[in-house]
Amino acid sequence: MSHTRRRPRRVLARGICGLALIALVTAGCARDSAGLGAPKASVGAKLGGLLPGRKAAAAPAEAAPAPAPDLAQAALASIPGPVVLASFEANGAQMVFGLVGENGAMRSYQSPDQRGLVLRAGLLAATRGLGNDLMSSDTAAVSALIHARRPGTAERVQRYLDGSGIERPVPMRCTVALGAEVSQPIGAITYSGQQVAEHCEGSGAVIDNVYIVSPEGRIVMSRQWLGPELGYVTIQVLRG
Amino acid sequence: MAHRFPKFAQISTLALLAAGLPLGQSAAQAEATMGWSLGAYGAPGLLDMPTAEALSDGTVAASVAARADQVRGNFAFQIAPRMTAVLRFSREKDLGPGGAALKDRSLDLHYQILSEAGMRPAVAVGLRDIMGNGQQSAEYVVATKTLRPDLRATAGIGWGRLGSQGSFGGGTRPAGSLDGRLNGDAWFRGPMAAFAGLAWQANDKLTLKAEISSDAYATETALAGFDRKSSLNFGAEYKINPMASVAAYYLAGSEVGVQFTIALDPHQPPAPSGLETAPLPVRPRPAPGADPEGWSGAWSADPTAEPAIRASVAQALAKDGQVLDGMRLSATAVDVRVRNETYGAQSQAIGHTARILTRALPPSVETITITPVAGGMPTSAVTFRRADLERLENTQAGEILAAAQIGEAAPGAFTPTEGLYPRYQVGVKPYLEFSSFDPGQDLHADAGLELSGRLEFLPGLVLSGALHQKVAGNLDEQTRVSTSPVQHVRSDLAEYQKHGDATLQRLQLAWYARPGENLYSRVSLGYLERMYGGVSGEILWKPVDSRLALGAELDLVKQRDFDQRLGFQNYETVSGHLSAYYDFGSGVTGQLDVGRYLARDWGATVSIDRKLANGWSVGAFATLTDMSSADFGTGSFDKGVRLRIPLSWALGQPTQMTFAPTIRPYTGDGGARVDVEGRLYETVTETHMGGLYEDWGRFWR
Repeated sequence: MSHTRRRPRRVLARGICGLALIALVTAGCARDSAGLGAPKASVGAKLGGLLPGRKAAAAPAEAAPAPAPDLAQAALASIPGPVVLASFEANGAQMVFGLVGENGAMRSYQSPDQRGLVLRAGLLAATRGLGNDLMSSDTAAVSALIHARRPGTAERVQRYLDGSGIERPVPMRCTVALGAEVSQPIGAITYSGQQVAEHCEGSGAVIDNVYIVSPEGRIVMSRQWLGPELGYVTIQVLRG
Repeated sequence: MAHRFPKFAQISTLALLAAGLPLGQSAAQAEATMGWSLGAYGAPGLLDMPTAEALSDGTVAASVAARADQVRGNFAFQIAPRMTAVLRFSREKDLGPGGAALKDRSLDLHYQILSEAGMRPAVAVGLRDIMGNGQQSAEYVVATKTLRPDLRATAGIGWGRLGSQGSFGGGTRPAGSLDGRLNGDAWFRGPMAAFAGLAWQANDKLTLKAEISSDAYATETALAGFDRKSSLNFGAEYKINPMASVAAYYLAGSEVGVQFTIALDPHQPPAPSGLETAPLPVRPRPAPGADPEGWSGAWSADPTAEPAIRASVAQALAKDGQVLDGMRLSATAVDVRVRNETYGAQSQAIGHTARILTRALPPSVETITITPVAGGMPTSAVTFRRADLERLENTQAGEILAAAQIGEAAPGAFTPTEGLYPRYQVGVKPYLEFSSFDPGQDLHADAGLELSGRLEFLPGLVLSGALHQKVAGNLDEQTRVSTSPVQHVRSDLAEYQKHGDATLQRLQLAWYARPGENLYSRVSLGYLERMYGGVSGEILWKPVDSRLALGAELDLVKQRDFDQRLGFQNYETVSGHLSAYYDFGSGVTGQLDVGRYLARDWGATVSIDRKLANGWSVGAFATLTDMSSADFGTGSFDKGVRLRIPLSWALGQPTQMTFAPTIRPYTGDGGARVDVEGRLYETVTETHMGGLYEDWGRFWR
């Protein structure tokens, strides 16, 4: 009888041991003459990632939130070349990204901790390393309307990896509308241009992106939808 | 942030409903009717009664259900979108021989024939406790209908236990098999009875359930004083989080029980996938006018060019967690041999390598071939036009796949990376080891340190080993003694586990090679595993684009001493198999091995494995040999379930480490094989066409 009562604890203990085992096998130390190291993250960080319900918090918040002007000035001082500041609404994190590559209209940016943001003519093309990333997007048609500051309707497709690792498209139909001419100083930079709104629906998603298009036809600031997990991001061009 | 831009807020509204997005739902998932909660038998169900639901494809659910006189540990596996298998370990007071506790193991199968559509309910058929003495043996046909989004009704007919209360028709049910064989004679025979129930999702967390049970609890009433006052059972399940839930139930008007469940759904990783450093982008080539020398290919005449390029590629790959084994470079083409030692998906590693090469190669190099190296062998070749990489960067992954060629690795002379070989790797890490699962025994476990080393003299020629040193534990206090009447080829596990001081887990020299086109070979010599040493040779035929692979293996082995030092016992044998492997698509692989096993028994193993693009794999296997079921002992023949859970799924970070348990309800000495490390099929298959296609979505990640 007493034996019977102890069983559930024991089986449960095995489950807990199993989790502990996962933590343990990632611990330890290793040496390799080819110079490849063990994964860098600490065991604590790994266990944190294992806890359900912390998905959102674990997403892009590698950098601690900081007041934008300070972060912007520090980034401009330390990163040469084009720099953008991204503010993620899902967790309030702000990250700076410096240009690391250009391929046609596509610009690849990376943060100091090597997370990636890819813009195609100012529109979000992809993210990398944030988790639940935007894998790719087809934005040529909406991009043409936005840059021409012309109202109209066009298709857009964004793609993600689902939980099992298969690429899934999210096609949407978008309506582009024009807003006001604005001029807004933020810190040392004044963002001026035409507001352009993009409202998209499809695949169960309803999103609203907004862009400020400069008189030269460049997107200098925008608020765009990254995906179901990452939510919206506001992108400011700090140095074009 | 938005509040700083009032005009932005004016125009935009946060109208996103992420829950409505079809992400994470594969087509197969959408088809089957998903279960809301598990029953006390560990499968989708009410309490004792089943429902016609299924679990999300690939899910593994472990549950413990306990009431005063009974404890059950259930492991449910959704082995196909509609097929659920449950392995159960149970202990019931007073039901065993002579009034002792009954320790039982049982296997259930549950198949959803129809999913819900329109007015049609979901319909399932199931077999409980299909082997052995059939204490819980029952069969059923059941239908479940969603009446409202939060309310489901279930009704069905049962046989066996589920046909024992309010029964009608049927005659006598034949007795089950006593030695652990399939008790197919009894299925759907004897009296039957009807059962029904309701499940209500009160909110996101809480599900309430009620059922009219057709289980009479006859044996429990007669032998264990069970008081069946009512046919009505009630239960409540509370979801703590997406993985864990607790439930309580009130059974037969007299018994209270609790249940705890952890369900791992491979489609719902606990961490966001892709917490890693971003890849370097493609670097497009300058216009020919801007770099005429680079475009002309004249640079290739310079003897210092190739070594400089090779060194920079090797360095960039090492930073990316990959190893450049060698390179062959001409003015127009490059072929690199690369070991992916970081990413679970080969396609991701190949995508990184391709982008690194666009940054390092002069513009005249138009053809880029990446040859993955596995087990020291070049196993396939993926070839791109450089212009396609430039044109298709960060587009739909299928586009670059359509533009790529996947084929047999090219033989020939590669310039090896300088200073890479001999390569040594040493590591220390903790280990945990448990005694084998037996409901009648206490849990024993050891914790200690594992010292492992690996010395690769040349690609494919590897000396490796592992040593265990126990720090604490009680595995040496096990009292289990094997009573197997045949040679104890596996059943002496406890004798091995009792030794924990400086035990040599493995020490072997392995040589992998490519003896010809589509051919792979392995020879392993030494202490192959903790119980056997000797020599093991294997050859595999596997064209890169073939679904079929054929292999042969021969093992000459001797049983090692229990202390796992250098000595041997006096049992030696020759074991060998002919194997056929077939990739059915959608990640399903079947395998048939025919040959001679360790106890000199002849027979065959059938196994089927299902792998998702994120690396999860669930499989089942069964081995039938000419060893009699009496000689095998309880369980009759060797069978089990194997899992492979990549750590990257749990952490969201790239690592190739996996948690890969094999669960056998009974371990006997029949149908046992040498547990040699690094068999060929598993070594090469991920870099072949089927493996690459499956997770190609990660190419640009």
